[in-house]
Amino acid sequence: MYPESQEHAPIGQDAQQGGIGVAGEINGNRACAKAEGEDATEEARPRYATLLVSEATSDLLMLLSKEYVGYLAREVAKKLLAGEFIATKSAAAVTEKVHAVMLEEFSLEDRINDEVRVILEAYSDEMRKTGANYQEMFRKVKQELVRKYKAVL
Amino acid sequence: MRVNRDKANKVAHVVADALADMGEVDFLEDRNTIRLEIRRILEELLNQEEKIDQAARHKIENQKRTILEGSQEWDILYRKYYNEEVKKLGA
Repeated sequence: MYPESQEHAPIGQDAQQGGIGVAGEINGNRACAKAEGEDATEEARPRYATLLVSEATSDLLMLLSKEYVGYLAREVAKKLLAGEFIATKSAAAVTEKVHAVMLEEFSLEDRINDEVRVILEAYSDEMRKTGANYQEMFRKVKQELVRKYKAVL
Repeated sequence: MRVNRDKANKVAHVVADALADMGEVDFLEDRNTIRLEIRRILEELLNQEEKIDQAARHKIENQKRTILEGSQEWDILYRKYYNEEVKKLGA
């Protein structure tokens, strides 16, 4: 069954790597992990592969600062409108949308890293017993999640 | 540049797709042209970001005493100076 600390059903598609199945939303609160060969009835539970933008995403950990992403979004929207590539009656809505998708994309690696940590935390006892290398496992699970979400980092 | 070409391309893709999904936005050029323009703008701006990063680092290096990168103090100062540089751009 699920590790004690996890309350939610597995979500997302499993990605088997090194005997550890990975599944979950990117936000740590709902991320779950399950072991290989687990009860098949669990497979029937709803699955989601939504990557959520965490409010708590650290500015310092992001690929770019939130402030700079805001600036990027405003400049991109402004230049597309000024260059007559797009037209709209609501420039503010365009900027807001561009900002939202950029923030999500630029914080993707952080959210994947968060999910990897949650997964490895769930298996910390097992890893300690088997002497698994944390860095190596981190790298492997991250690779799986990158593939699962078709992420470009 | 901290953001590689593949990432800039991906961001350009998702931005173009998001704009295409907005009912209140009219595309005056085809989607691929717009995507390429977004990528061009991004690459231009992201090169500028590298200068901001360097300026913030330079300011920390010029402090009277040595502040080690990775320390909390370094992070706080970096964020402060970085944001000052972003504000200079009119952000």
